[in-house]
Amino acid sequence: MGELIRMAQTLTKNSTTPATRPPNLWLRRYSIIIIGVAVIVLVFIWRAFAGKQPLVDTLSLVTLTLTFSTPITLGAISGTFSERSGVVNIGIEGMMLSGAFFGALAVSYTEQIWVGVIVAPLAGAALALLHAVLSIYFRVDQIISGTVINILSVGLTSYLDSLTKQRARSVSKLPSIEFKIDNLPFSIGAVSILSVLVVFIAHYVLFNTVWGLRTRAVGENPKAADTAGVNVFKIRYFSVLISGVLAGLGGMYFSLQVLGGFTQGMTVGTGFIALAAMIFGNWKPFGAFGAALLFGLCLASDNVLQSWYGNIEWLHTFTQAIPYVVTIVVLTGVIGRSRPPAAVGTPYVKQ
Amino acid sequence: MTASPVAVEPSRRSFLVEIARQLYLPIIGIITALLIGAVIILISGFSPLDAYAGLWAGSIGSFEDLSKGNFEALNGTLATSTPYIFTTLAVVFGFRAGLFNIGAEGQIKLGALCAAIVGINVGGLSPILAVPLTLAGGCLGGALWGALPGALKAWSGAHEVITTIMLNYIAGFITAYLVGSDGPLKAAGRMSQSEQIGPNSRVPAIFPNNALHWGIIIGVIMCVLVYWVLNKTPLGFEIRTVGANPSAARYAGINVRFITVITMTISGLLAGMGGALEVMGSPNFFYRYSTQLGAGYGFDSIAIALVAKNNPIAVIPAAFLFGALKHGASVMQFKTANASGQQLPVDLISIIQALVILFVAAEQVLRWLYRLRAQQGQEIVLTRGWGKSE
Repeated sequence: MGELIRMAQTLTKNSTTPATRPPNLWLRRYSIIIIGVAVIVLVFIWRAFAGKQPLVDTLSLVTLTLTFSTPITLGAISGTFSERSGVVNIGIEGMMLSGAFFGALAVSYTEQIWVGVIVAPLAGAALALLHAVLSIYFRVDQIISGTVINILSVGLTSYLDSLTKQRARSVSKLPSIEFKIDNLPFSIGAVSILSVLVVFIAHYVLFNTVWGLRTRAVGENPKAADTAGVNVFKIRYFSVLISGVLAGLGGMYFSLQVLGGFTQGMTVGTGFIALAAMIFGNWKPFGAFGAALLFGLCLASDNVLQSWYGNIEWLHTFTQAIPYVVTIVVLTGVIGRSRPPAAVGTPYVKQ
Repeated sequence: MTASPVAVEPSRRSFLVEIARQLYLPIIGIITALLIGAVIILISGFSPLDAYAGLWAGSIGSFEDLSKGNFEALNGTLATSTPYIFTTLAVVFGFRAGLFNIGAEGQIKLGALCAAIVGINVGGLSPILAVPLTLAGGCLGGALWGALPGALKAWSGAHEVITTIMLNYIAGFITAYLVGSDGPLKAAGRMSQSEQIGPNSRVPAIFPNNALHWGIIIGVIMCVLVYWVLNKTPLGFEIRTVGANPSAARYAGINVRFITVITMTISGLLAGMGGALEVMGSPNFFYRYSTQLGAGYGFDSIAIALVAKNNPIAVIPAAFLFGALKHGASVMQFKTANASGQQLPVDLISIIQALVILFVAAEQVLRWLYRLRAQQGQEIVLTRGWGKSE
């Protein structure tokens, strides 16, 4: 245990006081919040000058941002768990797609929405188990293993979708909080609220429990953790499974919360955007949440601008591409570099 | 993990033994994937024999057809394989420098679009000028779309796996807009496609009235050329050194950033060339850029490159295999129709593809499955996660 405490000290020391402290640390840490608040204020002023309803318009932007960020948040937390334990999870996209499909399929067969809520995370976990066995037991290159998960998931969901005669395409939806302001309907889905809870829980688990400490230790230096008596393999399997569960929930959001049904390839790269959010969020739950909100804002801008200005083709193309462009910009580290867990991507060989 | 930069040279074994040694695991892997596919077909309530017979008839041709001299299925398979050869070469080129280029989809799209733009405008010139110009347009489009993630990786470390996937989506949006409704390049009519390129910019079919065009010959030549560049030139040596161990490469005085950018540029160029030839030669698209072109090629090409074990020459049979799976799928579908009229979904092919990658790229699984011993040889580093410092 003494070893573990010393490790914890080095871990915390590393994360709060790096040898060369960048001068813009404060700006970096709160950059997302500053950008977000600035955008909201600007939108408010802009709509006020345009002679529209600034409060309602701003509020609709905020709720849409939360709505669009939900699957990214869940995906980013999913990635955070896996990578904090040292396993790169490029297969989040595939796990999401499977969660979306199997959740909807289960609902279509049982007519019970709660069955979908159980099946979707289990579907994600099943693929995660495959990823874990491949990358932890067989020590397959983790990026290749994730690529297999993604291709397999696209094939499997499309295959079963055709085989079941597209019955998962129309199912009932999960409940959401609905309210009206100035006769304009607003809604916040149950999964969106769940995702915010997940952020807090993930932060608590990772940074305030022994399990979280062990997970981070395994991701930074598995050998030291092993020497200290931590079961590296157990931690990694469990973290990847949690990652799959969260990705499955993120996928369920598409099929059971937003659309009420499955369409082929409906996750449209959200899993990869989530990975970028995780990197931008510096492998921390709150950071990931902030980054996901930023991506959510980009995605919401497409809807919001369309509702204000009608469907203009070039504007639509432009706003559609924004989240993907922002993902690339975030990865370049222009807004600030992040530090991945030291052992991420390296299989552990017990000596 | 890190292999020596020198290519794996066959020791003193004879050439044939070496080929057999390289081939037996991929072949076992493909057979295993097909067997698991058969189990899935059986569970789904169809006959695996009917399905695979249909796949064979649709991709190679039934024995009856072949004996009558009807090679339509085989020609179709070869035509389907043609763009795969180029996109897979793109992936192989990246892999050799340790770069995981999933961006072949965006690169082939941009290449095809640029070729269409050039082809529409130079159609009046004589073919001696128009064909190379159109092809060059495609190469340029693909090369630019490849250079971008290369430069991002070289100067900022942005991981190419995510940036290339994002660029695939962005390429999709841009091209869909350009040939979509109200798009500046859209041809009249309901379809999302460009105008036809000029007749002088086209690549003719090898046999009259046939899908197979001269692009496949160019593809085979490119495979040999890429093999030569990678294995016999100083540039190839530097690329392989960076792929094997970037820090050693830097220590040896190789400009790793330059190699990263040039590798991704050539990689994109190869994919763009494939896109150009699809527009110039394939009757499937009627000599137009269509939004259908290139969909799914990013991940398919990764699969083919892994099956080809990163060998540019082996890309030819591997691309043929996947071309056959893709082209034969539709015949497989209607040959399996059961009494209630339900057919085996074509997406089975994607599942088989994933299984093929699994067993071929992750040999450990295959060895465990059949209790095979590990081969003597070097592990090739295909890619790096974001955790490992260079």
